[in-house]
Amino acid sequence: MTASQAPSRHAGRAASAAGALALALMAAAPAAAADAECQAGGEAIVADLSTHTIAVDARFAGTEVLVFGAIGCPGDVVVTVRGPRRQMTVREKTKLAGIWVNGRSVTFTDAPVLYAIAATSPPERILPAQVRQARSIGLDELYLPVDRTPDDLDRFRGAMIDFQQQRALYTKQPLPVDFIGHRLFRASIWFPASVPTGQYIADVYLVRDNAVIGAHSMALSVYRGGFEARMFDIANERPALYGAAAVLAAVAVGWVVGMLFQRP
Amino acid sequence: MRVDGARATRVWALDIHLPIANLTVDVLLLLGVGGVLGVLSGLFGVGGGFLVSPLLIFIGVPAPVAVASGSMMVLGTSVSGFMAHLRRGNVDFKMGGVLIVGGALGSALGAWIFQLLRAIGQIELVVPVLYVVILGTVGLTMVWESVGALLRQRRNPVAVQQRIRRRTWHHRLPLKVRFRKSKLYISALLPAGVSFFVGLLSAVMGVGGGFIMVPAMIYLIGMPVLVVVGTSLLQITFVMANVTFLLALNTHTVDALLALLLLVGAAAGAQFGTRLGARLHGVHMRVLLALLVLGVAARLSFGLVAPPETMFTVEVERLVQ
Repeated sequence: MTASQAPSRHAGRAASAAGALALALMAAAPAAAADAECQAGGEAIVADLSTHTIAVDARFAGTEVLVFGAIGCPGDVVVTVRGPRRQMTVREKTKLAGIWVNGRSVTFTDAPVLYAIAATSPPERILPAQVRQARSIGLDELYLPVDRTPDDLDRFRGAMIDFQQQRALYTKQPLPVDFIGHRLFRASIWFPASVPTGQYIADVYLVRDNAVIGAHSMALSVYRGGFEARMFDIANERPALYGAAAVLAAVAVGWVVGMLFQRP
Repeated sequence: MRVDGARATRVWALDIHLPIANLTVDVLLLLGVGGVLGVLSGLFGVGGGFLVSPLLIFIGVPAPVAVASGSMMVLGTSVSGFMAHLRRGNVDFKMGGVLIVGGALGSALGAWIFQLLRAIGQIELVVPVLYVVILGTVGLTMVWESVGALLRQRRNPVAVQQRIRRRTWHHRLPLKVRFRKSKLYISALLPAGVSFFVGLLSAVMGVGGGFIMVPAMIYLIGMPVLVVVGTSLLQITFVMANVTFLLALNTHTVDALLALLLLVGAAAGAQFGTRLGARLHGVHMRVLLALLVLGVAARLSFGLVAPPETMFTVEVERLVQ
């Protein structure tokens, strides 16, 4: 059931003449009237996340995050989740003297490490391309700056997206948005085990008549927890200490096992 | 094999998330891989390094992390194997000292080269090519020599003490030292030079270099076979300690958790492998090792020449937070 079926139900449950009038206006008038109705009631759309932090520790195997909320007036719901930005280099293999080596490369200087999208209807049907590009709705509409533009840039872009998809970090096909009643919605977003740390942004949009009439933004933080965090930090911030400790640990383990198996 | 990110329901839940490799793997898989590598280490006196890097890459560890963490693992297995040989008294410490000096210098240069290759993004090319060239050459030489020895032995049923022919070309080199345990009086530059070269390759390829050191010590330097394995493990220990430290310092790609898990399995395997090796006939062992080395070389060269599974590789920048 989509949000756009709500009017008929509303009509069926008209509690007051004012309510019925408002609905009649809404059915007849363009989006502006709907805005007014939404504004009168408060927010067009509100949402929250089941969790605002994810701690990646030694036992982390991925987790599901629920985006849930309520809409103030009928429309389609679109949810996007974008991860922190990183540089990604795509290298194409070419054959050189009989062996396959890395040849040409394109670097995407500012790509999100994770991109998920969920919607009640296909975004390309309910919103024009301009709006989708501006709001980063849809993987193909993402603005991905590069360091150089070869003729076959699309192939590199496609390869990068495929790579991320294989790691369950990019979603090409929108995931479903489920409705409970006709106001409450929820979408389930999977964060795989390899999610990089950083700030993630979840956006929900209420879409009607080819325009976004309401939006809500939420933040989620992924960080390293437990002894793992300390290990990673030390490896990067105090590498000499880490290196020495790694050497000693390896020698110690080898030594201990050597002693354990000593023949009497 | 687990596909990272897949939501398959697991019956077995002994997974661990490795911080630096950024990978979730089964603990038992790592212990098992380590165990197999350890047995090879104790058996043949090779650190197992030439197998650990390809194996780790195969299970999904990024190549630089595989090489660096593999070095740490080889360090541990070499210590364990060395101790077993030390107990039997099969170590020439004087020769080991010379080898260590050469190896330390070589591996320092090698670690720098590794960094350089990583910066220009050609690690994936250079490392496999080196593997194929080195393993192929060494493997072919070993097969030739050991099969020849085996045939000679078959023809003559009486066990003959194989005395490797001494080359005279290196008698003209300066700095002659008496190596009592190895019963040699040769220039110290020879073992130092060999270990320098081996150390350099070790750092770039993430291997202990044992599979080059052992034949080099037997054929180039002329050491008796009994002392070779223990002494080479001593050298490998120092070289790998150097490599592990330098790689951790400069590239931050040593995943200690990964290495330690492999190590626990491997250190146990090494003890078992040494005991097994004592029972096997020397010549048979050499043939087996030669075939193993050739097998890995063949597999790697196939990987280089065959059309790749994916035409594109993607490298995600590792941001330090």
